[in-house]
Amino acid sequence: MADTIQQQLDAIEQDALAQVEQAGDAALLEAVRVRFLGKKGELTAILRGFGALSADERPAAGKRVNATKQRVHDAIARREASVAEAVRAARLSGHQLDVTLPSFGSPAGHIHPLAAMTREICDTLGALGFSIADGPEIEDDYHNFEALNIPPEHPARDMQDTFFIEDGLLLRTHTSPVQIRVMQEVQPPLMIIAPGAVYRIDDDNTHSPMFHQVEGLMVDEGINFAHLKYVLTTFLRETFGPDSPVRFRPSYFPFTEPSAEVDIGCVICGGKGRSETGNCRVCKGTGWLEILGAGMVDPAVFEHVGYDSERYSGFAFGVGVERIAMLKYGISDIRLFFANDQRFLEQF
Amino acid sequence: MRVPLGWLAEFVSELPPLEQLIERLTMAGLEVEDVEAPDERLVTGLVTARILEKKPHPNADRLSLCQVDDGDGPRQVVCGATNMSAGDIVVLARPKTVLPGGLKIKKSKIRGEESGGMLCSATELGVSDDHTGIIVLGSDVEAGLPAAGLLGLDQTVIELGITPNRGDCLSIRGVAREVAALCGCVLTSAFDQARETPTGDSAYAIAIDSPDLCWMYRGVEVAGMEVGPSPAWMASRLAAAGLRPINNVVDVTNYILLEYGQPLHAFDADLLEGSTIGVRAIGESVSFATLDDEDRELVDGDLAIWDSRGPVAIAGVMGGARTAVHDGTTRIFLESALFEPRAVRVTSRRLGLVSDSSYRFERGIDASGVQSALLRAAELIIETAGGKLVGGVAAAGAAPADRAAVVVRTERIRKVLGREVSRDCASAHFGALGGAVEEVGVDVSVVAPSHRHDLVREIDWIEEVARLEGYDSFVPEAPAVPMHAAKLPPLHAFQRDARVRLASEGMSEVVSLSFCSRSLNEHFAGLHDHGTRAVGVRNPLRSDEGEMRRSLLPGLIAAHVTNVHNGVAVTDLFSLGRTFSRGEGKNIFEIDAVAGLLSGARRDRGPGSAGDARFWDAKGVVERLLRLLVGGAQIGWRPTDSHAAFHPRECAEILLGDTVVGVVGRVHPDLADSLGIRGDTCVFEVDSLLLLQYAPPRSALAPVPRYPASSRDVSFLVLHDLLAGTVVAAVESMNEPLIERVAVFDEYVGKGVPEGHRALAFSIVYRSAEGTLTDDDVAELHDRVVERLTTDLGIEVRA
Repeated sequence: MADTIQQQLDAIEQDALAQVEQAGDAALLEAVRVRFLGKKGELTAILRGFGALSADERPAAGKRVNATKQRVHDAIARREASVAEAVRAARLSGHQLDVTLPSFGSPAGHIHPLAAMTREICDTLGALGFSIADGPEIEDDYHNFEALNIPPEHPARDMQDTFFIEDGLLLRTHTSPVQIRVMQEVQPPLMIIAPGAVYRIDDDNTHSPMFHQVEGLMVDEGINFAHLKYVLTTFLRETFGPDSPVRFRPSYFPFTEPSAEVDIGCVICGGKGRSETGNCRVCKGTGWLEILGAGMVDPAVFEHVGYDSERYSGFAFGVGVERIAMLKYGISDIRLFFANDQRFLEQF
Repeated sequence: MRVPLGWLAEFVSELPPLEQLIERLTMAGLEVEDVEAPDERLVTGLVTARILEKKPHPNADRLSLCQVDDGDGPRQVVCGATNMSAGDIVVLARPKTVLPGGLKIKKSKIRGEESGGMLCSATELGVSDDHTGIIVLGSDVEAGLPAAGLLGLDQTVIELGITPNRGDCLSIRGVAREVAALCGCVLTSAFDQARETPTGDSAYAIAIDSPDLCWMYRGVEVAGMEVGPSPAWMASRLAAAGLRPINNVVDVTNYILLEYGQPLHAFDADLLEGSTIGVRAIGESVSFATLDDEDRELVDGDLAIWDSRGPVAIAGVMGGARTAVHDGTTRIFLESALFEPRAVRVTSRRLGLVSDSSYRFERGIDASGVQSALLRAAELIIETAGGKLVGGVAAAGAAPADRAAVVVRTERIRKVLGREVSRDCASAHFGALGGAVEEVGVDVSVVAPSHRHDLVREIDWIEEVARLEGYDSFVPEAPAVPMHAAKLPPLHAFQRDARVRLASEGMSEVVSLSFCSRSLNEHFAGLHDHGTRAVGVRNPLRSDEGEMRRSLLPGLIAAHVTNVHNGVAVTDLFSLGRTFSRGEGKNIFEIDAVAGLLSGARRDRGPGSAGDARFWDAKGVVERLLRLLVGGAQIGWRPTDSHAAFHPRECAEILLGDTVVGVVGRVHPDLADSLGIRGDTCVFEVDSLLLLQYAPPRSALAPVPRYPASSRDVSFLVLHDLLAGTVVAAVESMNEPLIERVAVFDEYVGKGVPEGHRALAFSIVYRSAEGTLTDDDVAELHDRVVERLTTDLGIEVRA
C-alpha cells in the first residue's frame, strides 16, 4: 500500500516540477501552487488515502508527502525568483533612450537685462539696508528741479534736457524727485533707493530718451562723506568685483555738496588705458570709467523738505542702470535694450 | 573748454608735467576730457602753398589740376574741391604726411595725372567740421611756411569739462588761477599786469534803462584801424582753442573772451547812429537781424543794446548785422558789460542761440575784469590793426558790492566730511583760492573773490576744503546704523515674482519706450477707467511719440513685429511698466501694469504637437500669474465687447470680486491686419496695484481630508451662450457642504448636439469630513444637484 502512495507521490512530483518549469509568469505559478499545494491540491488529496495505511506506516508516509511538498514548494519559489528576474530584465532591456531629443514644454523665457540689472543693484543696496521707494514718472517742476536746488533758468537745467507735458508738468529727468517725496513724508533716519524710468531729450548710441536710474538716499544724524565713500565703494565692489579700483572726484550737482563723480577702473582695458591698437576706446585712455554721481545732500534741499540741516546730514547717489549693464555685459549701443530683438534678449 | 597749454603757460610759471596736470585737474573737479598732443607726422608735413594755376583734370569732371608753389618750386596736385582759385594761399600736405584719420599722403597718379600731395580741408585736418572746401588762408601769408602753427595744430591742447558752477574756469586766466591754487605754482607777471585807464571823456554816453538786467557797462572808441587778418600767433591760438580766425578786430574780441572769460562786442562806430548807447529791454516784439544774417524775433523783456535808430545787439547773446564790423571798418565802439545771468539765459534759450558770450554770462562773469578786459582788448586791437583810443571810457553802472563774509566752522567741516581739518589748513586753502580770510576763534571767516559766484554759503567752502584736500584723503567708514529689515514693498515683490513666473512660461521680457502714437493710444486704451484722455508730450523727439502710452500692448506688439520682420521664430513676450492717462482737471494716472503677448504656434504641447495660440493659452498664463497672489477659484472671467483692441467675442475682463483688474483676449482682427500681426495673437494686461489691493487675504488652512471622495460626471445640453462658469457658479451657490469641487472636463459641439447648442460635461466631487460617503448617499445628492441645475438654468441632461 505504501508503495502505491510512493508511486503516486513520485508521479505527482514529476508532474508538478514539470509544470513549474513551464509556468512563464507569476499568475501561472500561482495556479500550479494551488493545484498541487492548495487545500484542495493534489498533494493534500493524497493524505486522504492514508486511511488505507496502517498506523505504523503513516508517520513515514506523512514524512514523504511533506518532503515532496517541500520540494515542490522550493521549486515554485526558485521559479518565482527566476520569473521575477526575467521580468525585471525585460523592463530594463530595450533601446537606449535618445536623451538628446528636444524636451517637452516651453523653453525658458528671458528676463530683460535691465530688469535683471536693476534687481541686482537693488539686492546689493537692499542687503546694505536700503529700502525701495517709488515716485511718479510724470513730475512737476518743483519736485524735479526747484526742491532739488535747481531754480528756473539755472544753467544746470542744461544738463537735463526735459520732455514737457501740459500744465507745467514734465517727465522726470532723474529719480531724484523721489528723495523729495520721501523726505516730505517721513523723518530721518532713512535709507532708501528708488529704481525707475527717467527721460531726457537725447538719442544716440550711448543715450536713450528713456533710461533707468536707481537713486539712493541716506539721512540721519552724523552721516558724512566718509560714509558715502564706504557705501558706494562697497556697492561698486559687490557689483564689479572685490578688487575693482574705485575713485571719487569732485563734480557738481545742484542738490548735493560736496558732489562727487565716482569712477571705477576701466573694465575693458583693466585700467591701463591702452589696448593693442592704441588708447582704450571705452575709457578713452584714462583707465577710468564714470559710473555714478553722488554727494552730500545740499542744505538747501533739506530746507525745502523742512529738515534741520544743522541736525541732520546725508548723502544721495544716482546709478545709471543702462550704463552698468552696458559695462557688465559689454553692450556698446544703448538702443539694443529697447529694440527688443529676441536674439539679444535670449542671451540673458 | 579747450586750453592750449602754451597759452596757459603765459600765466602760470612752471606748469607741472602733463600727466600730473591732468591728474590734478581731474581730481579737483576740472575733468580733463581729452588731450590733443601735436602729431609730428602731421605737423612737419603741412606747408602753406600758393596756387599758381588751376585747370580741369583731363580725365575727371569733378577734379581739378593745380600747380602750386610750396616754397620749393612748383608741383602738381589733383584736388576735388572747387572753392580755390589762382593766387590763393592753401594748406598742402606733402607726401608722407599722416592725417588725423590715419590716412598717409603718397605721391601718386590720380586718373592718370601726377599728384604730389593733397590740399587740405578743415575737416580733414580735424581743425573744425567745416567741409565746404579746402582751407584758404589770408592772402598775406607767404607760401612755404609751416602751416600747422597757423592752424593751431602744433600745440598740446587739453579739453576741460567745466561744471555749471565754475563759470570762472571758462577762460585761460581762470584755469591758470585754478592750476596755481591746485599745484602751488606761481602766476606770472602777465597775469597781474595793470593797465592804465585812459583819461578824457568818451564821445559816447551810456544809458542803462534796465539796471536790474545790466549791472555794469563800459565802452571805448578806437579809430583809425585797418581790418585785416590776425597775426599768426593769435590765429593759431584761436584755432587751437577751437575758434575760427575771422579778422583782427573780431579775433581780438574772441581772444579776450577766451583769455578773460569776458565777452566783448565791437560795433562799427560809423554805423552806430547817435552818440548814446542805450541798454534797455525790448517793449514790443521786433524782428532783429543778428550778425550771422538770421532774422530773430525779440520779445518783451529781452535786453538789447540800442543806438538812436533801434536795437544793435542782443545783450550778452549776439551783435546785430547793421552795425557789424566789416572789411572796411576803421572806427569801432568796443563794449564790455556785466549782464544779469538769468535774463541772458532766457533770451538765449528762447532764440535757440547759445553763443560763447551767452554761455559765460549765464554762468557768471567776474565784475573785476569788465574794464581790464576791455582795455586789454583795445590795446591788442591797436597792436594788430593800428589806430588809437579816442577819449576815455564810457561807463555806466558799477560792480556789485563785495559779498558778505561767511563763517566756516571747523566742527562743521568735521561733521560733513568725517574727519578733522584744522583751521589753519582750511585758511590756507581759502587763501589759495583768492578768499579774504580772517580767523575767528577756532573757525575761519572768508570773503569770496569776485570771480567765484559759487562760494556763498558755509557748505560751499566746505566743498572747497574737500576738493583741495583731495577726495582720496577721506577714508571710507561704515556708517553705524541700527539693524533694520529692508524688505521689498509688495509691488516690487510681485513684479519680481511675476518676471520669474512669466519667463518660466517661455515668455521673454521686453522694455519699450513709454511714448506712443495718438492712433495706437486710441486703439489701446489700457486699464485707465478714470483717465479718459492720453497724456501728450509737448516736445517729442518723433511725431509718433507724441503721447505717453496708455497701455503696454502697443510696445509688445511692436517688439513682436520687429522680431517677425527679423525672421526670428515667433516668441511669446511680456512687459512690466507704467502706463499713463489724464482724468478731469490736472489729474494724472500712472498704472503699474504687466502685460503679455502670445502668438502663433504653441511650442508647449510637445514636439510636433503645435497648435495656434488661443484665448485659453493666454488665460492660463494669467491664471498662473495671478496665482502668485490669489487662488484660481477667486478669479472671475466676464465676457466683454467693450475693449476696442480686442475681438468682441473673444475677450474677458479679469475680476477680483467686482473689480476689473485686467483684460485678456484675442487682438481684434481688423487691428491685427492693420498692425501686420497674425489674427490669432492673444494678449493680456493686468493692473498690478489693483491686483495687490483686491487680492483676498489668505484664507485659513483647510484640513487635509481623512475620508475618500466620490466623483460623479454629468453632461448637459446647453444653449451656446450659456457660460460654463454660470453652471459652476450655480453649483457653488447651492452651498452644499458635501460638494468639494465642480469642474468642466469637456465641451462638445457636433453630431448629436442640436444646432445652437453645445454639450458641457462637468465632474462633481463629493466628500464628507465626517466619514466615507456611501454610493447611495452620493447618488441621492448628485441627483438632487442635477435636478436643481436643470430647473434653475433651464438646461437638460444629455443622455
